[in-house]
Amino acid sequence: MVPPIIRDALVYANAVTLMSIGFTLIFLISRIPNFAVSTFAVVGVYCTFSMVRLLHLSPYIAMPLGFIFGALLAIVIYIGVIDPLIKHGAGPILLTISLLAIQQIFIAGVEIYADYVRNVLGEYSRGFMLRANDFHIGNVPGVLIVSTAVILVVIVSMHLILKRTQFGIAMRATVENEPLAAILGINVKMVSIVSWFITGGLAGLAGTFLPLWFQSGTTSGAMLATSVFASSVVGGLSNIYGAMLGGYLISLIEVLGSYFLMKKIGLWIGSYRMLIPLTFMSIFLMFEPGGLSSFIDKVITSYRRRKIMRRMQHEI
Amino acid sequence: MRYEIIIQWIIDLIMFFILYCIVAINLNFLYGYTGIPHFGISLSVAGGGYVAGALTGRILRWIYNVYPQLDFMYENSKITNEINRHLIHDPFVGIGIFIFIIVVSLLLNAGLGYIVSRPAIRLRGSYLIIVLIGMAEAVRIIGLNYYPLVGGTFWVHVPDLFIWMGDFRTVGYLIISAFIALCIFLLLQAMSTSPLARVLRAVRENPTSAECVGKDVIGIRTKVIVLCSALTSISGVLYAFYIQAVLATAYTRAAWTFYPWLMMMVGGVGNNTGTMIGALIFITVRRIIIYYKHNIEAYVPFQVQWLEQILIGLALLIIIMFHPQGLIPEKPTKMRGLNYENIRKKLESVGIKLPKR
Repeated sequence: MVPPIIRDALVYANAVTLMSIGFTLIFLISRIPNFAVSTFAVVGVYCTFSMVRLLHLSPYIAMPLGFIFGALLAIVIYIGVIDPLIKHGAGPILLTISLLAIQQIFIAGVEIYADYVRNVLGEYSRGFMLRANDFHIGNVPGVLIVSTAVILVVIVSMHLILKRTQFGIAMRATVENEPLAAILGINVKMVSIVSWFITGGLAGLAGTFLPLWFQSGTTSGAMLATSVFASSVVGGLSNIYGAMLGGYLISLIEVLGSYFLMKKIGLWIGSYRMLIPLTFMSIFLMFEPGGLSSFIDKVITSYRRRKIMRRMQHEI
Repeated sequence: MRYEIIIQWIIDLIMFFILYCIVAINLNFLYGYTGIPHFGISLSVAGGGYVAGALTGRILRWIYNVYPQLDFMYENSKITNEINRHLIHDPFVGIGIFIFIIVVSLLLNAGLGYIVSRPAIRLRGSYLIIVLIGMAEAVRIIGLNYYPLVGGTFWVHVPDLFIWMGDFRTVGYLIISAFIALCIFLLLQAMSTSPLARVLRAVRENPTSAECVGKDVIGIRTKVIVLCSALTSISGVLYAFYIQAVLATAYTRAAWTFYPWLMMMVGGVGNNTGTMIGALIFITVRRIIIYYKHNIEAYVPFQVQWLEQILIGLALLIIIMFHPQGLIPEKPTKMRGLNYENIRKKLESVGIKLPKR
């Protein structure tokens, strides 16, 4: 029913989009590129691994666990490092370096866990794939159905939270103007904590899907990272809808583009797959530095302007 | 025996200090003086390494006509051995090629710096960070996958251009590297105490007002990135000739971007002496850890390098949180071309009195 390449592309796109929503959310709230996002995904990957290989349970039990672990890790990072640094008056550069340091620390932590599992528990813990532990409906693998369902739920609930709830309005106010929001009585710190929680959770969740379809290990996060940065930048880093669009656009271009190029030019081009999102991002930035969201804004504004002009001409 | 190990340890320490010093003072010039958050500095180091790895062996093979029928990459060690045998008697070719490779690396990496700076140099900080990190990753991916460049995930041997020095080779190469590093340091130091540095600081502190007084902010930033990319690549070239091999896997973000940033943060941003002290501290600590690593390895069920990574990360976090200005904070430097005494006298002659410092 579904060709394998489309399955590949969709599972990948779902994971990348979940992460780039988080990346953009943190960027909006704290104005820093959160490089630790890929670390949360690795935590999710090892949640699934531990569930399946060590505890011999269903991989889908790892989903809530991955969410919770990722989210807790994010909150620890925010409360332990980011918030004190912001209080000391650190700028985005210092925060970025500290996030790189945090990423190094947590990646090393995951590596230690992987070493421990291999040396003490005797289970091969790097470069694993758990497709065999997934369920299938027809020829559609469970991970495709579940991840698509999850991302739909996430998108709808994010939309509802941002547009319908008081907390969402507080969040948008914080994004627009933090000091003013704080003056109006919004608990800005709470908003930041919740956005870090959501980011960590979503990235952890994205990580739990990966080993069910792709070969994963301690380096999965680094592999995904370039796609996530590219899709967030292409999305515009100005609202989460842009991140969703950018996530799908970039990952579909990456997977389908590399498939097409491999078919046309040769298999060797497959190893340069990570360059596709970067190249696309660079070219896109030169023409549209504001990203997809500003592009869509421009289109809509010009359409509205034209409509108004037409109505005015009509009335005159 | 013990004595020899200590000598080797010290030579290693000095060599890595020189290599990282070049990267760190360039980074300091980029970030400390001009305010460009170059989180992709590893791409210039990799660029230098790739130039040394890809060109040196090929040019020398062509000069000496060594095994023209063999594939350069697959029979690499054989060809390099033969070239080295020729080089023993040929000091001038060795020095000539060394200078040639450095010049080529400067030119190519200046071009590379220009290309990578293009997409985001106009945009604000965070975009620039993301794009530069991405670009460094791209250069690394090309090195890892394009086999003819530096042997992909294997490595390529680099002919020993200073083999004619005989027993004096290690120390001799150390002196040459130190001289080159000193030249780079003096150049950047001269630039950062000249009137140019005032422009750079203006670009760093407030690009808008710098533009208002007629400075071409984008142009200045581009020039600084191009210059520093070119100079940083020398570190890659020296590294390649030191270990006489180029490994594409060695140019990781941790080793050549994160560590130089750490050195700069430890020593103090915006001042070259501090950065060098930071580099010295960092390299010494790291060399000690590497030296004693195997003693710990027996007691823990994982590789010690992860522990090292955690410790380094924690050290950086602690420095950033409790001492963000570094060991030596930035001072207003006395600039050549700006005579404060004259300015004071002129102001006093028209009746303006300055408070005494």
